[in-house]
Amino acid sequence: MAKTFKLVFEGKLTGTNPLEEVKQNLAAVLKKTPAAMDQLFADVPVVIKTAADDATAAKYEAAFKKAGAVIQLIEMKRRSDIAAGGMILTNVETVPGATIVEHFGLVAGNTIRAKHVGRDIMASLKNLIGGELKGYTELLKESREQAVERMANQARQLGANAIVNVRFSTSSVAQGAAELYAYGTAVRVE
Amino acid sequence: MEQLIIFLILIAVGYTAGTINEKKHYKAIEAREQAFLIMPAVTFWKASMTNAVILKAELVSGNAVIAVDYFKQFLAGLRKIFGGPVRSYESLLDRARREAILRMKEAAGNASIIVNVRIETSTIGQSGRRQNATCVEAIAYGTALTIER
Repeated sequence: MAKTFKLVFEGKLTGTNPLEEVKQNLAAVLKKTPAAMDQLFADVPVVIKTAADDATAAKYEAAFKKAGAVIQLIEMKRRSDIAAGGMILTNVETVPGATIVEHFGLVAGNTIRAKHVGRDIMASLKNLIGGELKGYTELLKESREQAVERMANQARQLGANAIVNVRFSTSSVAQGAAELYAYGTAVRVE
Repeated sequence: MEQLIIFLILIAVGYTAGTINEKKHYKAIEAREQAFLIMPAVTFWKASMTNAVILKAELVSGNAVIAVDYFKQFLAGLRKIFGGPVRSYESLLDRARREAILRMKEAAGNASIIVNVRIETSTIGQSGRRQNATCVEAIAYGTALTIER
């Protein structure tokens, strides 16, 4: 998955050009009036762009460097990373590249979801022509993420920073509703 | 008589749309599988990790829900009378699993290998009268490793 960056300018210069020249250069690069540059060099850091992909970030970095200024690239966390809250999840017995120092035992999270009528109608239509049911795919994916989040929360309360040997399982509890279950062993790694 | 006509129309629609859909899907799957040959997904993990430096390990998963078309449901219904292999459902499950594996690989970003891959399947039954109508969900998950090259 491609990385996303937040581009922040903190007023740092590379030191090769004098301040006035940098301001002029940047005004040309950002297509702004020289007066607006004072804002850029004010006391607070200025966000140049909120969500830039790899290529855009590299382009800005090069342009700022050429102008004689340094732009900060802050990597934005993916939503799935935030959901797990920095918890390392693996489905093997250890965390490869790290050592387990403490075991906390089993942690689990579940969620039960029912599909709604709209999706059901779409589904029965799709059952005529076949093919993927995007709505269900999304629904189940989101639900599973929630189950993982609950499991991660439980592990966090125990003081763990990783969950190893994670397993998923699905069972239907009632007609039209499914339980999604995630479980694993909470550990602390170094 | 009217019912028979409706039934035949449904069969015809199911057959044409289902076949086109499946062909298109298989074509897409094959193309993406080619592109992802660089990132192998294996079901074991120990043997591959002899002296590699692992930079990052993370759980990745992908899922897909695929519905069966009307024609295939009909074929399967016939099969249930005589028994034997239900060919028409084999491709359904195959598509769901391969799609799930591909999505898992897509979620892994620029990892080098996905180890300890597990694949699970569950059916999502339809509520109400059409008990035969099914869609299957396949989920594939594993640990994506980024290895120093």
